[in-house]
Amino acid sequence: MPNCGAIADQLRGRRTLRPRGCTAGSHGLSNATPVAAKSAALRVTTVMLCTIVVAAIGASRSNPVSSPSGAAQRCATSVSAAGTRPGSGSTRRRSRWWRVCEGVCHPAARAGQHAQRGAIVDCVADHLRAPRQQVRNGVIEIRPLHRDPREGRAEDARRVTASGDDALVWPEFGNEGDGDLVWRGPVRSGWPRWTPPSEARSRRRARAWSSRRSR
Amino acid sequence: MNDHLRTVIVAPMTTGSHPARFRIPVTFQGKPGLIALDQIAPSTASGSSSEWGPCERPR
Repeated sequence: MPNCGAIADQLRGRRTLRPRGCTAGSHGLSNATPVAAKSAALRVTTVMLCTIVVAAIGASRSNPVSSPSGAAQRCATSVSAAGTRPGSGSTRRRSRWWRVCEGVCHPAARAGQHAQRGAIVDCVADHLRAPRQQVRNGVIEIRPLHRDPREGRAEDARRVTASGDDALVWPEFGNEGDGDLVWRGPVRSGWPRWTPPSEARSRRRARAWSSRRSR
Repeated sequence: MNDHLRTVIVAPMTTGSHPARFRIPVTFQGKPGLIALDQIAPSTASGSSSEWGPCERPR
């Protein structure tokens, strides 16, 4: 059983882990590496047996937490709000979960040996909504999930084109000479190169274009 | 920029298009609609253009 006084001292005095007052080996943190700026030492407050979540690692509200730990706690709240709680039970179960778990919920596979009540765990936290978690050298790292801002645009564009909704919204709001331009479809690869069009090629393209339009 | 250049960048607003990731939902003069960013284009600034009012992003 861990030395709770030493753990509390750790939470108050140090941002990064290593409960020196405790036997570190019993917490599975003997190989923990110091982590930099946005780190927080969190204590495993609840261990729940369920299908998805095994350990709830939380910064206890009773302990004064520093700014990074506060950030970790905030992000932890968002994590649990994001639906990592087990199942979709009744309101009573949900409220109980909220009351019990104020922290970061780790899937069982990632929590591993940290899933012990009272253990001090390092968390590299950031302002998160959809975090990516991993355990490296005995430290649970929580990093923001970087998403491609252009994700899904291609599918949406395909859908819009298929529904015929890609016509100009304001056709009258063009520039001089826009009416003379002919749209020949997207360029398949590479930068469009200008080649002097021969008459035959122009006629062929015009025929292909008109047949495509008629379909 | 628009005070000095003779061109402006415009993005049309529409109420009848399908929503997509590149079409920003807005409310303009009480009407919900979309800004079609896929049809953004430069245009020559004409003297007849006027300010219609702000548009709001729905929550």
